[in-house]
Amino acid sequence: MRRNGPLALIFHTIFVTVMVAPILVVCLVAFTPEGHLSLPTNGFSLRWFRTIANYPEFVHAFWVSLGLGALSSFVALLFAVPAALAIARYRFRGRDALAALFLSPLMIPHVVLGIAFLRFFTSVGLSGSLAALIIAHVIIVFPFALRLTLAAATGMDLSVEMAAVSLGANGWTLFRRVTLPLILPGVISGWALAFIQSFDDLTMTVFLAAPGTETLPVRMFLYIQDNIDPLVTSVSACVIAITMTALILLDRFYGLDRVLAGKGDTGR
Amino acid sequence: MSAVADTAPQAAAKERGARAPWAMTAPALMLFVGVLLIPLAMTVLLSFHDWGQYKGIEPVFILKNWHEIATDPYYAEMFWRTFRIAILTTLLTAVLGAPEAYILNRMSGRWKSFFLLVILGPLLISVVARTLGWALLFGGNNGLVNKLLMSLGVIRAPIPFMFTETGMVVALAHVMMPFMVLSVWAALQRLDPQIENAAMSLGAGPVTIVRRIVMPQIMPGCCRARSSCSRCRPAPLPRPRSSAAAGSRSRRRSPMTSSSTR
Amino acid sequence: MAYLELDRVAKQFGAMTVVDGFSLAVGKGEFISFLGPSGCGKTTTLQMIAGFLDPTRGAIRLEGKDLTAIHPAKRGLGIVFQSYALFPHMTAAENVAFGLEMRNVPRSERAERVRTALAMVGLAGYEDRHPRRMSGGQQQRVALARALVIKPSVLLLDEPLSNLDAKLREEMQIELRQIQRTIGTTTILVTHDQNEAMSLSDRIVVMSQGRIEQIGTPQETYERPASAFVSQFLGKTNDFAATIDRTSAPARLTAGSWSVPAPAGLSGPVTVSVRPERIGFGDVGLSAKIVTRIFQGNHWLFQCDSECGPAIVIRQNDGQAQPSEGEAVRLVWRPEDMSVRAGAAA
Ligand SMILES: Nc1ncnc2c1ncn2[C@@H]1O[C@H](COP(=O)(O)OP(=O)(O)O)[C@@H](O)[C@H]1O
Ligand SMILES: [Mg+2]
Repeated sequence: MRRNGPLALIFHTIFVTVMVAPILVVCLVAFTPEGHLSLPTNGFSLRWFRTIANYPEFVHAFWVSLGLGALSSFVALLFAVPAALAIARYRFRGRDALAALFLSPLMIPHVVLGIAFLRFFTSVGLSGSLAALIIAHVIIVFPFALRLTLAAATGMDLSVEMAAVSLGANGWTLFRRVTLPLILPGVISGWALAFIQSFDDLTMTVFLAAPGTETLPVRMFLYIQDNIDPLVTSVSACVIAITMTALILLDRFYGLDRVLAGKGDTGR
Repeated sequence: MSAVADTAPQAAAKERGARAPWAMTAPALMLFVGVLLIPLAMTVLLSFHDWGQYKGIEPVFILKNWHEIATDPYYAEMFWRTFRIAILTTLLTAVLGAPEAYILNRMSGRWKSFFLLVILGPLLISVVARTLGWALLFGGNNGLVNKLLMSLGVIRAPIPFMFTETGMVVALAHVMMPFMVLSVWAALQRLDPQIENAAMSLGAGPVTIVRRIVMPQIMPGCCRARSSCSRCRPAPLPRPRSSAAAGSRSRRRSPMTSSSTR
Repeated sequence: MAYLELDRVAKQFGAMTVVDGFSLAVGKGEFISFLGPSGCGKTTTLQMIAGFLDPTRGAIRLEGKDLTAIHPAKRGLGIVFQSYALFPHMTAAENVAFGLEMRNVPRSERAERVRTALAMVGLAGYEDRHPRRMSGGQQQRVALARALVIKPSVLLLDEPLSNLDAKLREEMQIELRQIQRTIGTTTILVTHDQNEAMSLSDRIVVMSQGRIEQIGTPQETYERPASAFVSQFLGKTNDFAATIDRTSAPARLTAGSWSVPAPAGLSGPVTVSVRPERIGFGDVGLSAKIVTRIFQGNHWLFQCDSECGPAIVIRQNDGQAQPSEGEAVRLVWRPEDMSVRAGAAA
């Protein structure tokens, strides 16, 4: 494969700098010894990291976000995998309409979804509950779960499945032993992207979260409306550290490119 | 994605039972009808109801709200601005993200992994934190970039960034960029590198290769990313508490109180 | 009674008829090939036997029982696909064991049978390899072992060797033939390669556009093709336009300056078909000029320009002098080496 030229590398450097700058500056400010947002010009301090301990709701919100992301992505896949298999393999009337419906949460502004969900869950008596939050997140992450599973299912060699059928596999056995392992890379990628979506959603979640079910973005958002101090930066820095560690581990043991491109072979 | 080609006889291999696809999509369909279509329909219905400061929502059928949207130029301007920002964001994302994905794809394994991590990492970092970062860089006189440029004498007054459309487009593009890079990069992954070599052997220069060979093949990836971009997510900027709840009209013209970074 | 019987089977996709009036009786232990150009409906027919497609009309019976009523998972047929279709997430042994697992064969017996099957296809010691760490030929052997280990009533092979290179393909053909003879499994092979069909099968079903053109042994189909299509498709052939004149007595078959006593039956314009290797150079016969002469090791290939159109001649390289390019020759053949069909040559 050919190398990148100097022009490409300059572009790349600027690109990466701009991508990283806002995050880096947040991380730097987290180490300030001052009481206001500023760069740590006179010495680093862990003061604002220690302050997190005084705000257990941030830690709680982190766990809520983590659990919510993991669970809603998983539930979304339970619905998305059979739907993706049907859409990938059968040509039936209404197929395109169904696919459009399932991808529609991508097109609807999250503010609109937030308002709609708020009213709906209030009227069915679920407002402020964790259940409502999970259901709403299942909907918004569904397109990501569906899309990557669909890509895997579409690219799958159906004769492998036929071979399994001819050998006597059928129904659930066929799915569990052959189909699922074959589309697993896509399913895992779908889960990962769905999780990212859920973990980072603020616009819709802000309508549904109640004290106790606030996610981290909501908690941070509410906090900076009242106080602008380096606490948010230290919380962010923690999340960034955790995220990066998770991504690096993922890359080490599975391969980031495999997760993100939804490809690869499980038979390693 | 709708053009899933029939794979010759194999696709028909599943012709047994025409009800199967419906059985397989039924759970998802029920989920979507139950908790997406019904809530959206309720919201549409709500738009025909009346609302007053003291009486709350009144379940009557009126067209007042729709009439207001259609006639008040404020809304027209708002829709237009949203549309404009979405377009600009998408353009900016595509113009910068696609080349970056291409460059990324040509890096060797270790660097590729590293920069993929750097570019995709922000996906997991809350928009709140990222937006705060922009505020720290460009916010008023104290923004780092502004301070730096002013001390170097490049500019006299701080670059207007916060609460401007430029700022919004840049921040939104920053949010969407990983998706664009990811989509294009995934499309590039599926390319056969030999095709590029073949084009080169036929005498095509680098520009021609990109324009005639690579671009046509990755356009679907770009389009896929664009559909996620066009959903314009407001990046939350720190401002008075009002913006979370659906703002009532009286608040909308309140000056955008600049939250200083002190 | 036939072991496997297809009775006027037809398949339509929408308005398009892909297979029509397909009737075939396969004896137990027989090796049958479906031979025809790509798109002629071979795979479709095979998939109907396997149960992945339902025939639009007609019946398929195995030992007299209606096969179409049985779910594909319960038919007990072995299938090998062109793409190998191995389970990529399982080792060779796990692949082969899969069918036995589905049949609840006890673990110890399973292991034994897997080992035997892999040894039979020459892959002893490859038990723990994953498919993607095997060559194409090895993968196809695993696929074969996987299909055979369940002792299928019929083995269905869909272009199993066409992804392999020429040399490996030949080796695999011989091996396939030997295995099939040893275990005596009734086998149906789909192929578009006439050499493969001829060297492997007991009988060949030549297909074109969804219809059967001819069913016969390799020799019959080669030497007595039932149609122009069959004679063209099974190797090279020369078709000369000729006429049969029954007004004179005895009736004569004439093509240009060449003329012989006419065979019984036909009259008017006919086509005379002669295989290139049955044509020799003589003193009387069709006059021709040699355009090119190509040496191919064990034989010579001549392209000639005859008075009845272009002709190909193949001569064994028996060490004798051969005519050179530009030389005028006469093409001769024995009456029993030609087949005469009604209608003018295309
Ligand atoms: N599922 C299908 N829908 C419509 N047409 C099909 C389908 N499967 C096969 N065909 C058509 O049927 C014909 C025969 O196909 P096939 O049996 O695969 O041919 P072969 O295996 O002989 O190459 C082809 O023209 C093909 O286009
Ligand atoms: Mg075929």
